[in-house]
Amino acid sequence: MTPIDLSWQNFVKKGDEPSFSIIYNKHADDLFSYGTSLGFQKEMCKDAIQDTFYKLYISRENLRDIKNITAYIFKSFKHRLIDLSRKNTREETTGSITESLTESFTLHVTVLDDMIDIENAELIKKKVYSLLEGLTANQREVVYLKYMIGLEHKEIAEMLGIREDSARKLLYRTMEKLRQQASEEDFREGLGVLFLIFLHQ
Amino acid sequence: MASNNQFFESNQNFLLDEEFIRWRLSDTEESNEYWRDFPVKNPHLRQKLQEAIIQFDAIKINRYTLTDEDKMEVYRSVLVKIDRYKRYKRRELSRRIGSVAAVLVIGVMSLLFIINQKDTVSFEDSVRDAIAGKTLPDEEIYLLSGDEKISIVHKAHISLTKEGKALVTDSTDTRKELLLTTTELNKLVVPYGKRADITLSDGTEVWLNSGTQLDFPSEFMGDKREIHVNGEIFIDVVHNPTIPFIVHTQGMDIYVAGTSFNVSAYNDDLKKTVVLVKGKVQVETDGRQMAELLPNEKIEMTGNDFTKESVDVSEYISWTKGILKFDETPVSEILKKIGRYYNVQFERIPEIELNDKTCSGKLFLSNNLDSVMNSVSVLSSTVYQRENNIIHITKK
Repeated sequence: MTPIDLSWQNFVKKGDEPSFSIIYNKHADDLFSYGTSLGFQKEMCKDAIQDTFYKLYISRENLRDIKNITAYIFKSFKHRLIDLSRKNTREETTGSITESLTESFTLHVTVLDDMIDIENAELIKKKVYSLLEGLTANQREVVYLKYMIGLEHKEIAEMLGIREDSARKLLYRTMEKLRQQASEEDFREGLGVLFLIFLHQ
Repeated sequence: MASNNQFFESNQNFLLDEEFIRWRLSDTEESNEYWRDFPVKNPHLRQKLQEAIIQFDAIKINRYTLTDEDKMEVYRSVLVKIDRYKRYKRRELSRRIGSVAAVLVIGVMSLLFIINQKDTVSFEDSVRDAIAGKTLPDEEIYLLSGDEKISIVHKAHISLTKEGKALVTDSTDTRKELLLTTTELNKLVVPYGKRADITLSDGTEVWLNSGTQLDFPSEFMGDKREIHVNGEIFIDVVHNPTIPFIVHTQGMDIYVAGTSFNVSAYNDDLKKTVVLVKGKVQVETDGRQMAELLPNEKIEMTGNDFTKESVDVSEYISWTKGILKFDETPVSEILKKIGRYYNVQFERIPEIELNDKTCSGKLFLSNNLDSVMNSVSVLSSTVYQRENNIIHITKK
């Protein structure tokens, strides 16, 4: 049982407030990152985070069976973002927000602190970026939820409103796509190596 | 795949290999299988692969952070809404404002000393210009509560539950429970060569470095949260403005005023240091306020003298990630730190020149002392030899 699961148990069974604040602090930045990736403004992300945790608190009596609290919070947050943007859209113009929601998932790669040398960090950043750049918004979202948040296929499927085997397939296709790009790059790199050998002789 | 292996032979840089990157990003069954077999087929690359896996964790996609102020603001709004809801429900309202995580790093740098003279091997015959060390027998981490004592495996995680129990989870997910005493403080003792981490009853997390003892209550009661430390810890304090958090060490107390900090203090060290990562802390000696620290500041205390300076905090907290960082650090200092991690005693020979050599770089603290010592000898241009439990380091 991870510390966050333990906090969740403490909160859901006894309404323990410090545990609730631990859960909040563990998720606030990740939710903000996810909302920003989906193209939402900071204030709207903050509102949705607030609503998500308020709802989590007041409905905890009904949430005892939830195994993975992170997956639940992410799902709840995304639904809230969609609701909020629908409300805004109704006030302004008509147009389908859910469509534009699935059409964009921004991409920004960072290397934390200085565990990797600067020259290498730049190269790796470029490689990761170019691998992910060719994916569709949906595929990027799958990689993000799996790699950054650590969600399982089943949970990702629930969030994207697709079946579990579809999520698996989506990830499989995503990886196939990554693989193809990589082999093309390998080919180019291979040429470079050949060239070097030639020079050496 | 065969060509990949050749690629690693020459470059040994997994971080730039697409197969590796794809594996880390996607974590599919197929790639897991391949990379699980990889070190079996290429044992000489096992260490490189492990390092690359740790390093790749620094790669983040779409990482955006809220400021502490934003986080507090949102959290307060949540509490206000809950408050309104509760009043609406005619329920009693708890006035306590929830907490925000805080990070505290406490560190002590010390001179290289031989702590237990009688265990020291005599190296009279050893070559001049050599440092010799001796690996010591393995000791266990243990948790003491009243008359109860349980031993804990390396790298296990300990959590305190609301029922006043300590829950120990090790890497194989095996769990042990111990009911803690409420009449006195409990002790977590981590010997040299081991590390452990614990979540206290308020959610505060503490990482204990090698050779550290932590005294803590099963539950924080009253208007203060207090713990006692002899050694080095990195602590992430759950912020609660109404109940201050105090870290007591021999001759020095640290008060958490803001959000986050880091402390280390071995009783037998002359020098004690506190390094602050986030927030604000106050350092006191004999009840007198000595200094207030801001993020990226270090305070160093030797006897009654203290100095304050700005530092790169990552050097002081990298041990929690299993890495040691050095920046023109004397070899003697490096050996002392390695000694603590791996439970090796290095004899100090002040007159030899090796002590004046310095190194810069990063060391991955793997399970294998030999590979770590090899890295050190490459970094410092020395020669390393090991015969059973005796280590010799000589100049090239």
